[in-house]
Amino acid sequence: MNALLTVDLGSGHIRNEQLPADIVESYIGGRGLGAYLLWSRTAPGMPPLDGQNPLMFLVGPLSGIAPGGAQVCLVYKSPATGVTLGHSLTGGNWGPELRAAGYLGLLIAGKSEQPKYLFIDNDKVELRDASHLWGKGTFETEALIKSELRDPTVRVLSIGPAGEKLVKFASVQQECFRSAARGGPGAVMGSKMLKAVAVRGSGDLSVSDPGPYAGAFAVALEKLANSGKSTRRGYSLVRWGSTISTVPHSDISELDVKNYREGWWEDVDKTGGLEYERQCRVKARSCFSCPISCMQLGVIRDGRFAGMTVNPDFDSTGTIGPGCLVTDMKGLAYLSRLGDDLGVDDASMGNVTGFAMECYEKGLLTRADLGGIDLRWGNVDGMIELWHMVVSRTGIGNLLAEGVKVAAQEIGQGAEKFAMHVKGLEMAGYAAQAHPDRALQYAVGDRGGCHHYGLTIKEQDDRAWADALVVCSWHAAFIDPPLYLNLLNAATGSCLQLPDWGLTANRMLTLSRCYNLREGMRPLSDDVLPDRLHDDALTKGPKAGAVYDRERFRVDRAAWYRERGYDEKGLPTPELLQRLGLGFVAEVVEGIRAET
Amino acid sequence: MAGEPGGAARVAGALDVNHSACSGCRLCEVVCSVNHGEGYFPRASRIRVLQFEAGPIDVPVVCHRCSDHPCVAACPPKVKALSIDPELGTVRVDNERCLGIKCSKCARACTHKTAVFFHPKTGKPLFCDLCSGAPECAKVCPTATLSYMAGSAFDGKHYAKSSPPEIARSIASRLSPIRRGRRL
Repeated sequence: MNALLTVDLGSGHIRNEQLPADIVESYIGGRGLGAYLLWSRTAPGMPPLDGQNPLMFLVGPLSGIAPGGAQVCLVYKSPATGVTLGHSLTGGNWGPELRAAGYLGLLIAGKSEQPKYLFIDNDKVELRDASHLWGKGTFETEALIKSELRDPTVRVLSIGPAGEKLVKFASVQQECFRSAARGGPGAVMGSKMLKAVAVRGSGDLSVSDPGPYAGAFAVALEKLANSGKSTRRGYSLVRWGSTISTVPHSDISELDVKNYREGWWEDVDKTGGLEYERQCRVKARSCFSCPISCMQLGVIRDGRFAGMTVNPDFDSTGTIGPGCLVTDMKGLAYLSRLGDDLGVDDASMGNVTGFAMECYEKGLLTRADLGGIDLRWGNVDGMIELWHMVVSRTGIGNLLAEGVKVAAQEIGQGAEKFAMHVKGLEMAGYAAQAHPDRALQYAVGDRGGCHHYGLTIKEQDDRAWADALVVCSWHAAFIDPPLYLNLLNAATGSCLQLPDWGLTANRMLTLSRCYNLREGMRPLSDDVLPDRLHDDALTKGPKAGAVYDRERFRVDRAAWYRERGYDEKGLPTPELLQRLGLGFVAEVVEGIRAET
Repeated sequence: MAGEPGGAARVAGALDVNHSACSGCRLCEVVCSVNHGEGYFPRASRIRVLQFEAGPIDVPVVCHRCSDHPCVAACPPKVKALSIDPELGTVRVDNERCLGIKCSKCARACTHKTAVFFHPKTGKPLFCDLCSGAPECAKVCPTATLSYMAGSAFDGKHYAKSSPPEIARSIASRLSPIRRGRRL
């Protein structure tokens, strides 16, 4: 069950190898295993988009068998940052299907000369012509593949025109609205001329100790099923899904408002989860084997987008809605869907759009620069037009498609001060002037300006584990590490104890950091925040006046380094590397320590 | 009991499907396969959740034990692999006699050709057996989509009148939020 399927798109060579048991025990699966494979199977300095970047689709020991074991983790060298690993998660049904086909992971090496899609039918692997799909949106692509394979039960991950055009924040989509997006995996896939990966898994999944496993399964399922009654967070997810999140985050001034200029918005109710429920919501949907069903499927009932099915969530509305001062609920729902169909990371696209709006407001970008678009705040029509330019790389779209970091460097004139990224990955829907923990997470996260990394050591560890097992990371709010270890031990026959939880998590996270170091990341100059968070105090709402003082940030960052076992330069100590079993990275780290 | 719908077969209860509440979690598939000794094997489940339309819309499909059993009638006389359980009204398969997916006459006879699934490894048809009277899927369903009624209100064939795609389309055109069921 530790099979890694490698497909080389250039040579056509297909290999199915059993990963060594000790590697899988040490790195579990998903994001952790991906970091190990990225370190051990790539040469330093590999360009992320020249076709050689290994694009990995990894599941884990609880995929397909645990409540909430629905996710797949894509791991690759990030095109967004160029110096870090990228990891992108999506739920739905694709991950369990890959596992049922008999694999722990899929690694796509090399690039094809012609558009292809991969069809994994259990042990049969086929590269199929995709020239008739090239250029199509992800919704149509998935429907056509299911139709031509004559099987609506195959699961499909596909890119849209954005990935084909190597937009730096292109996504990989599933079931229309499920998105593996942060970091630009769609661009990696596009650079390989790979349009989609379809999988059919007809195998059964068994566990090592069925009796104890069934007991742990039942306990975990009950905790998730009761999540709506047990916590505020659980209630919100069940009742409204994550579209509600803009509202509570505005309440505490933590919401991206007007390109992160503010954290609180007087108009948040115009597009928050309550308004979505009033105007659009139809029914709840779930990922595989999760009883929470946090996804809120809806329909736009009237207006120019009438009849469109939509399914926004926080990541697809935070930067696009409040971040761009959009007050039109139906327009926002449509934009969220448009991003999914074009195949872009909605969080990054909203961030880049908000940045462009601020440039327009300040005169750094003129109407002529924008191809005639009057890109004032909240202009949904302008946003739609701009997005098509970005995805087709037309005019200013070609620059914006490179991400906010590159766009700001090119535009200059102080634009870099409000280009809200870290290491090249755009921040998501949280503004952080008033929330040091949120800001620190952005600064030190392993894939750049990431809001998923975790606010505390414990949360970071729990999420690293969730992304390795692979289960939904939100479930850590309801299922604690001992229960996950019970599930894991009964599933695989391992004997992990609670101390192993923190140790394994630190191993996975530290290896990711060391990969980033190897690729050129330097903590003191790269674990940093855009000037806006330090200079532009909030002016409205309950935290008016708040700003994240630079010196305070340096102190907080130093404290986090210490807590992780890193030195004052943010580098893992030799003692830590030994303790984590990462001796094989020590030489690289020592070289960096000597240079700085 | 005489006089009840279903004629001679005494139907113990019925699996009710409230289609518009289904969230597509497929926990029904998981517990069905586990409870029948298959391990974690949704493709060997006797209830399957099919997806339609953009969304997608999820539609659970399962045998509803039509009183006229077209599947049983379609099984070739020389094979006679299917029979009806007199207590539960469920379809029983004699796997020794059954020709499996190569034949498929039962599946084709099923209204809308949807509710008979074939085991991925054995190729034999899978029919809901109501878990001998206490269906696991109904116990686990988090949205109250599935529930088990003691005593059948009507012939299960009425459930089969709308095809899964038709059900999906009617859900897709719904304008009001769906009641979430017992969990909230």
